[in-house]
Amino acid sequence: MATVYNWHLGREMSYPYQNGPGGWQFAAVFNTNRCIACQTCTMACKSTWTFSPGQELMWWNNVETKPYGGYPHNWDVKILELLEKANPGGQVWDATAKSDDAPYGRFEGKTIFEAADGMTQRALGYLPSEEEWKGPNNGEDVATGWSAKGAELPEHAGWFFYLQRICNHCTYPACLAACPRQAIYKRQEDGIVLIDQERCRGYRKCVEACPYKKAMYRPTTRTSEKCIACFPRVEGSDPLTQGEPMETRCMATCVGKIRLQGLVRVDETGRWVEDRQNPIYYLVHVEKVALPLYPQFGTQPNVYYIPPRWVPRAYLRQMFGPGVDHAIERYTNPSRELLAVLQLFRVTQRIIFSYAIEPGPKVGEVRINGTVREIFNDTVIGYGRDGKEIVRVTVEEPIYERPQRKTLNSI
Amino acid sequence: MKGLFAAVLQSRAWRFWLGAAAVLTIAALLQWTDTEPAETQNLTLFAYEADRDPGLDPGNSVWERAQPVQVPLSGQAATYAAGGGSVPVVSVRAVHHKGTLYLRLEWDDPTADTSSYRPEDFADAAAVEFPAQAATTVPSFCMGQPGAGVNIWHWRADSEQVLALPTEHYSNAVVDWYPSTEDLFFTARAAGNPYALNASPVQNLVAQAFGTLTPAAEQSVQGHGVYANGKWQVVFARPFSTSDPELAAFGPGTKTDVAFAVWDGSKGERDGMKSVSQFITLSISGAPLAGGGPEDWPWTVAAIALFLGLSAIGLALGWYGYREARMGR
Amino acid sequence: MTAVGRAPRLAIAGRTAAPRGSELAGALAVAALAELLLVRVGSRTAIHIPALPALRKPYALMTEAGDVVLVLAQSLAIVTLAAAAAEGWLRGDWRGRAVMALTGAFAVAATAIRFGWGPPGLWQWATLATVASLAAASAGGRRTPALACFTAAWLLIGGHTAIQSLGVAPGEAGRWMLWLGEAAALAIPLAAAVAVRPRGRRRWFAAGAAGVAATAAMAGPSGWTLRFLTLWNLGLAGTFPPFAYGIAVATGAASFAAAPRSVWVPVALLAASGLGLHNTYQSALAVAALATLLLAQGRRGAAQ
Ligand code: SF4
Ligand code: SF4
Ligand code: SF4
Repeated sequence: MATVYNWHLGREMSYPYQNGPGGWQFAAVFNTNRCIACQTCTMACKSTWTFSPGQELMWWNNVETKPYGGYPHNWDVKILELLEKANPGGQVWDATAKSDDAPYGRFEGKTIFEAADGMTQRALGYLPSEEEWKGPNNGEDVATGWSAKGAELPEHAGWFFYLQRICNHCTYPACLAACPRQAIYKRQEDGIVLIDQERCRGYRKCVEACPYKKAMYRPTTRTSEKCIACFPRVEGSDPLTQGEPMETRCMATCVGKIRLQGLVRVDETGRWVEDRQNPIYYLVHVEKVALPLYPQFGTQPNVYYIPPRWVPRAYLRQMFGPGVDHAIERYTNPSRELLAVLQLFRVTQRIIFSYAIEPGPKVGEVRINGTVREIFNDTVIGYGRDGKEIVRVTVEEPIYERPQRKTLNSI
Repeated sequence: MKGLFAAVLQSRAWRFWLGAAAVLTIAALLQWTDTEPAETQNLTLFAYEADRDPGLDPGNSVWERAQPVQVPLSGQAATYAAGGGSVPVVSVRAVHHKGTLYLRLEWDDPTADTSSYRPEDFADAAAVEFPAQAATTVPSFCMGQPGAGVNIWHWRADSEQVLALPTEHYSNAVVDWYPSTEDLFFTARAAGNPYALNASPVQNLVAQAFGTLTPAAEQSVQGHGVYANGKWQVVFARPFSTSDPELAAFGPGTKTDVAFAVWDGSKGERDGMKSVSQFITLSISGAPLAGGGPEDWPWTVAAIALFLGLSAIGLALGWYGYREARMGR
Repeated sequence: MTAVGRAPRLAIAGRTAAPRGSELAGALAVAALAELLLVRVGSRTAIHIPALPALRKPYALMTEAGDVVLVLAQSLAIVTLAAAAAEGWLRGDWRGRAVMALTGAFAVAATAIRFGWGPPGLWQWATLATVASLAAASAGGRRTPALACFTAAWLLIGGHTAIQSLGVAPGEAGRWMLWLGEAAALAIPLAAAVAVRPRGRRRWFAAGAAGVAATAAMAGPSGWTLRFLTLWNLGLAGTFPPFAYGIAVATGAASFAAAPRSVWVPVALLAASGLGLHNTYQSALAVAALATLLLAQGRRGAAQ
């Protein structure tokens, strides 16, 4: 066991392998507030990668309704329960111990690596049965109750929200740690975690260990498969962008414009190298408006979520850690810069490596939580890997008027 | 002479130097001449030459004439006294025919776990492990030095089944259409994964100390398993010779170490979760397979006589000691 | 131990004898335990651990140290057996003669096996009988039950191997032999406890803690590895429930601490040799242990 630094937890933790030399890391921000659960992302992934025999129960991308939905069924409840049993009452945070190295405070409990016995399991986990992989959208749109008096912020009486899930391409992947064959590897050039389909012998230790249950078994090849982060697109080998890195299928197709994906620079300790103008870095480290999913598992996942504003905070803190209140506060009343950066979601398929803002005129005022806020029509510009501009949008969506057409079936 | 010897031994210093010199001399001799003074003394599995080809059928009558060896396996996962079949022993037979070595393993298992189709299903399996050819001089109790690799023949019950499509496996499954069913769309198949290709029920693997299991370049091991009456019977076969130094090699008149492992799929066993044996000796004899045991009867008589004779000394001595103690010397 | 080194010279010609072999046996016990740890536990287990790059170096170091210790232990075993035979010859009493004859018989068997003279089955039986005879000869007084359990376990587990060398298929009886052998082995520490009657609350407390730890280790996830190791090193298949091993460890620890120092070395050697037939080196450890025990016994008798 090596000792590695997990900045989500604000502390060192034990992990079977040492950190790599650093490099780039695949990362994304999902804004749960905007998702309409149209499952376009889910189908984009399926129709690209998992449409063949044996992959019927495989959804590398899935969108589930919380709190009742889950694919595989109750995956998170089951892992939280295992952790609670391993460390009763001890899974707590010290949110006062905040620093640059520990933006959410310090996790005092046990990670899945620390709670495992190390002999039969390198990470605490369970193997879902075939039954549990079926009905991937069970519990869809089921609310906790009826808001009889109507719903109002900050917490709705009856609530649900959509959770969009892909493999987190974790910095400390549990799947990789658990594979006795060393058939799983994490690429230095983009941090993407892949299962070597030649070496895999179908032991399903990764399926058992991944706390997010994003490694899946395929009976027709007797191997495990997982989300590949559409690596040909991220590498830029898709002819469309002529060598420039492109966002994944599930990101690029998102109808609700909730997703922004990029690559961030990481050092040899697993920390992010400061890169203030990278939109992902800005959202995660500067504004701290996007949070990791179940950071207490300890894998340092790389998909970050802007938490839903209307959900009871205790539930959200369990799911996203103690940074929830700050994140919701920031999102509800965004800074001028944040408002501009949020416009970058889904305006290009290319990966935005940095952005700049050109100030625009004041266009209005809104009242938020009793105070008056001015809104400026700033322009935000996204740049690609080579520093060339790839997109330019304004805060106020421009209005286009379509010229009248005379054909009958025009819409 | 006796007195002088005793006098020398009586001096503490003399004893120390004498002892130390003797030990170091012997150690140095062993080291420099690369001599291994000890020899394995455990179970020996004899492989005699069969006049007929036993084939891959564990029920072939040739096997009835081969003497089984019962190899103890270490206790199993069912430790919580909850009962359930553990696999305490595997019974092994060996013969050879026309330059091919045949091994037949037999063990009790109440369930035949032949499928790995559902995510939670694991198949029963068995393996035979030899020191690699290059490492045959290493005695069994030294196994596991760096550079001393092992050659493993691994049989898995699911590989005996056809790799069905879901529509074939589940009678009620309905699929409109699979757009592509070429190997490319079975990723592991396209990558040449032997399980995905369902190439053979037995895989020939090599492992180095602290290395990981890798399929050998030469996939020359054949095998077949049959489940009946609560028992698995699995036959492994491979030609004696190989050019690959990472693989075990055999021949009439040679000896090698061999160990066995058994997995019970319904207990979630796979990979390191298994029942294993120690290394035993596999002795390949050029003599024809007779009906009886491996030793000629005069030897058996000699062994029994030797045992009884020596034991008689022991019993007599024990009785003498007992009487001595009784008499309160 | 009395100051034997200063015993008057004349006295040795007779029946009094110095613990000549026991110093060598002590050194052998240390080397054998080190070998057990480095080679038979360390290297053998490590090959089954998936490659952890960080462990490569310590592993290489461990196997190298193991090689050295193994050569040393084997050389010590040869010298210890020779010294025991010599001491037996010098003493000339019935115990001495027995040690001489039986170590000699073992030496013949081990050499024959090494050079492949005659069928191995013959020599396996000779080894079995040598060890059993030495154990029987060392019996007497309160140590008898423990030695009886040891002999039974040795004969059952070793016999399971040796009868198969004679071409007998042990069948269902074979399983019983292994099971009974393991039961007898687990009874050894109990019998030893009855013999030495360990006293003292603190001692039992420590022993109990060791027993609980052993039970937990056997019941826990590491139990599999421990079972492999008990099979490979002790010849026990590990078929009993975890608490049986806990009790054995607890009573074993308590009686070991309470036992007279003269048996520490033989017991350590027997622990390193394991039960049943493995290889001639491990059998030599058992022979050395019992020869030392037998010689020490005679010596104590003579000193009284
Ligand atoms: S495509 Fe976007 S909006 Fe639709 S379900 Fe997926 S994440 Fe939600
Ligand atoms: S989410 Fe699961 S499958 Fe993906 S990298 Fe993390 S542990 Fe591995
Ligand atoms: S990144 Fe690609 S492979 Fe992964 S879930 Fe999204 S579309 Fe599927």
